[in-house]
Amino acid sequence: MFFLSLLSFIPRLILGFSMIHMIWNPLSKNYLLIKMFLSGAIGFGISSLFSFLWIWSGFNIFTYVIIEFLLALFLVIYFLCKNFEKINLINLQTLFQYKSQFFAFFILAISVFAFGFFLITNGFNFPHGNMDAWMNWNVVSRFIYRGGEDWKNTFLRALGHPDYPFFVPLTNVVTWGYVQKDTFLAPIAFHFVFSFLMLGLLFSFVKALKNFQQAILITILFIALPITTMGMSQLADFPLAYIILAIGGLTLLYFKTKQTQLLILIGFLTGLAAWTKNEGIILVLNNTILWCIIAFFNGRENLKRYILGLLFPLVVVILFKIFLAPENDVVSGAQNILENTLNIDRILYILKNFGATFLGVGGGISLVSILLLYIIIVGKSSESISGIWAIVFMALFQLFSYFITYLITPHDLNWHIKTSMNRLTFHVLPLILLGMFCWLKSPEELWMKKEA
Amino acid sequence: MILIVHRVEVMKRIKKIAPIILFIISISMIGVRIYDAIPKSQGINFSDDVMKWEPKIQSLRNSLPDDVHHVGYVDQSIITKSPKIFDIEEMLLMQYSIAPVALEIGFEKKWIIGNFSDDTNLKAWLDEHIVKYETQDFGFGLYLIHKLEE
Repeated sequence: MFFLSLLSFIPRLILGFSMIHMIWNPLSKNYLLIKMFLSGAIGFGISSLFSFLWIWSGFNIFTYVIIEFLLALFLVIYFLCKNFEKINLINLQTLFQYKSQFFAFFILAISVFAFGFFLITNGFNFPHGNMDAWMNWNVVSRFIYRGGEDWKNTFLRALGHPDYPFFVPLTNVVTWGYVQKDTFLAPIAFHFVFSFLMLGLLFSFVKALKNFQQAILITILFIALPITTMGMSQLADFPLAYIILAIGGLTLLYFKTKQTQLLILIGFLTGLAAWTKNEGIILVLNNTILWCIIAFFNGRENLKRYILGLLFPLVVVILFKIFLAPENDVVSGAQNILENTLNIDRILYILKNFGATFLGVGGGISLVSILLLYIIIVGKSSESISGIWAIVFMALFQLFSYFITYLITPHDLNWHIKTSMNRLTFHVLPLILLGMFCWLKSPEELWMKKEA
Repeated sequence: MILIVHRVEVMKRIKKIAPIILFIISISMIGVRIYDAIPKSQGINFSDDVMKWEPKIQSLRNSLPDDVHHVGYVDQSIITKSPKIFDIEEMLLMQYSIAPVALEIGFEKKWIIGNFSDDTNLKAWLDEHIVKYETQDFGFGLYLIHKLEE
């Protein structure tokens, strides 16, 4: 059933890849890896949005699955026919042309294998994910799949967060639709694949923006972090971090190439973030401000394309929030806002915990300390990559919004921090690592000077 | 002057080996993680709280009529009037297991799920609060209570 679930992802990955390929520079082969690893977010995103509209319109999920499968099949045949002459296996070799770096490839392969091993051991030891996952996400999948036309009963749940958006729950439902069974192995397979897609995306962005050696370094460092297997706890935080990473990477690519088609994808992913978690709504605000600033300097066309991409997922989220979801507990329960905002002890306590969370990212070893030392020693790259400021803006804005959320939370602050802070900081961790390793000198730069 | 040149040279060397050191630290961390993960991989038995809980609920779930979408939920805390002992995790587990039926805390609904750690006073409590009812006992302190028309 695990492998069947994996197979059921293929139509959605095809949909994702096709959409990216249609929007973004179909002739370029340089960014093939990015397109491949990005197809997860876009494909699962489209599937989840359309399947939501489908069931909300009163149709059966099984019919949706058949239509989705046929559409994916049509797209494969269409692209194969259209590009038959262009398909040349030799081109694939360009992705892996680093024969001289066999050792690095070997280490990378072993590390990726180890990553898979960590994911499997974590995933199968907690088949339904951690408590937050089954009480907030997987339970919704069950309501939709088992409930049929009565799926809206999920909003009657007495406890949990019925206002959470449906990206992860509907992805599970569609998988169950394909395999015809609500197996717990499907969510495991989904988070397993998403973890690999995120790793691959980080690698491919750094490879495209910097170089191969820097990409190897960041990938191995990422695998080394215990927090990176968080995906297998089946929460929506990992998919959100993947989407934020995708937005950040595409933003840097935009600054590098000035291809405005990328903005449609950035807009779509931003809307998708809001469909993944409520924190994604903050990202919509964050990114819209960012693109307004960029449009102010680079022209209105940028903002138009961004909004074009953003529109569809955002409309779905707005409809969901207005017509279906109950009010959010933090928003509706917030009280003593002014008093809490001006409480210095509260502010310092939150900041102290943020600091401790970041310092603890490496597990037993403080990764932040090591990275700070590394930054000081290695320093800024001479190959300037513009747009790093946008990554810093995104990360800081997002963290600042979380800081405000803790400040005004109606829940016990200590409990709220303990149960969520490491998940929330993880949202921006891959993004920060991407920005950092694009800004830093790569091993190639450091070693080339020696030869000179 | 020689000392400064020497220091600059040392610094340059450190810069060049820094990525290698970071690489080695990362590989070492992966090694430690593999070491930690091996015992976990041997103990994989697909067994967490949910996996242990769900078989207990199966027969109760099957006994709920198909047209019932919303049921009440009472536990020990309601019988003993001690909100502090309300077991939120068991209630959430119950909700997860009986989905797509929604749970509501209390005994207002026609169908009520009872989850009790001690059911010695249950009958007296039911007689007092529900009067006319029928119950099904599923073991483990689990009951399905059906309010009958008075």
